[in-house]
Amino acid sequence: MKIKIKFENFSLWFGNNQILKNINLEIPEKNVTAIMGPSGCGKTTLLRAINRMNDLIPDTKVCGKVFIDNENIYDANVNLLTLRKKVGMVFQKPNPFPKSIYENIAFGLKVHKFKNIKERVTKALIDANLYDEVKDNLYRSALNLSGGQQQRLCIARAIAIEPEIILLDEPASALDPIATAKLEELIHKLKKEYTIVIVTHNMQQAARVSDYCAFMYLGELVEFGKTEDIFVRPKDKRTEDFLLGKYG
Amino acid sequence: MKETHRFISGILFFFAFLTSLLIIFILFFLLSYGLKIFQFISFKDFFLNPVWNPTGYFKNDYGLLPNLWGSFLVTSLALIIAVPFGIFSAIFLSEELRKITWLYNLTKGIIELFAAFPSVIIGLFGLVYLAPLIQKIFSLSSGLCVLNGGIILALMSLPTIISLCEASISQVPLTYKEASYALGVSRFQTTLKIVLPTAKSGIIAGILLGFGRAIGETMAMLMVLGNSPIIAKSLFQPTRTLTTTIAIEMGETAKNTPHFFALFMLGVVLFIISFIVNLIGNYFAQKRIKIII
Repeated sequence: MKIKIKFENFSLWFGNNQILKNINLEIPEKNVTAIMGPSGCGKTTLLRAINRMNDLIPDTKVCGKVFIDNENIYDANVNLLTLRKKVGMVFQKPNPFPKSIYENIAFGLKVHKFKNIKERVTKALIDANLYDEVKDNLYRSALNLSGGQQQRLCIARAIAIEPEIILLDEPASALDPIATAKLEELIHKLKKEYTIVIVTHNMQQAARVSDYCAFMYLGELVEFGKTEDIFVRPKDKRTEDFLLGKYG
Repeated sequence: MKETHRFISGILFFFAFLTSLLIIFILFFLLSYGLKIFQFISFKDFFLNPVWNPTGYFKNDYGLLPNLWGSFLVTSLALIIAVPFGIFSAIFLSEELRKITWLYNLTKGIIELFAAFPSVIIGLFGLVYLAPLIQKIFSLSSGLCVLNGGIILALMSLPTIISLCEASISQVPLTYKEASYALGVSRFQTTLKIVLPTAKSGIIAGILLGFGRAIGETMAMLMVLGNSPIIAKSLFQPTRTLTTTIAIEMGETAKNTPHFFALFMLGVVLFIISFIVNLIGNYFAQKRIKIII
């Protein structure tokens, strides 16, 4: 199996605070990899290291390498805009732009100079399992959609510009169970085409959607492996404690 | 306890009522004097007459147009200068300078201080410093002209525009910007296409309230415009505004003459313009608050 993203001795600091400690991790292509761990363990920071969103936070220092397709994205000559076009992201709270549904998706397409914008918007909405619900209201404000619909719109917005990787940062934490089920169904469908990395502190969700699973604790990567192995036979005591609900 | 509460709210109500009553009284007073001009001249002679010459030898002209045009010209020029400056400063303040807290607070403090500057001092600056400069650069006979007025007025409306735009831009949620950056959109494009449209209401409010501030300005304009009641055809001609004409002539006009009433009517026009502009400006300011909440 091909490795899409590879962390090599990667550490990260916010000021003097070390958030990630010497991470080594290989994320396989066209699979869903879940990153689990209790709050504050650095899982979101790890995710945001993949599209370098941590750069937005002042006083961030990194050490080590992260490869995407064998290219170190922390090289000095890496173009951040190209990187982020290749690595889409969906955030914890749905954050559509205060524009119409159509414009939300067309925005990225226009910036990246795509052609046939209308067809691409429709396709992105279909791929995100949202088209049937919004096809009559494409020009209405996206803020009128329900939380679950907004989150799927954010996914449509991300996949419209043809990324290779999609990062999902606790995408279901603000959603009700039905919306969550729809979202998970969508994730399942999308992994045929995209490499998906999902952060979650919900173990059941990790078990349901992921093929591979990483467990983090206090900035360290404790364990990584196939989801069924981790859930059935955790090797590390800390993973086992987490799965048994001893901290969370 | 209940009595005290009642007593205090009674006092508050009394003062609030008194204030509104005063404003209504002033409006009534303005209208009752202003409208009397139409006992002497027709609507057409006031609203469409291009000449303002209230003390002519043969004929007196009370034309609104030179004054209105002067106000319009100077205010528009001021906005043309102040709006880009104001928006760019606001973007710089909220997107860049905010990271350096002490410098941000210092700069904001200075801008707000500038709003409290007495207008006569800014006028003095225009009269003593800007006028000779303009005169020299463009080789004019006098530097007291529309251009000078526009620049001074731009300076005076900038604090209003910057403060409101800045408040509005910094209230754009970080999540919108993050969403845009995550799509591989540059900071410039994000600011232009996400931040500014989101902050639109506040920016419009800032511009309109800046306009409201500019159109009512009297003292500084009196000092830098040259005060000749003509319809200015270039930026280098002197002119007059609604406010300066009233300020210059009211003191030397006999009461209850057509001239006296005409000046009041200028006041009515000025009042209507600022009232409408402020009303729309406040509407957008309110809208901004609703969006943010």
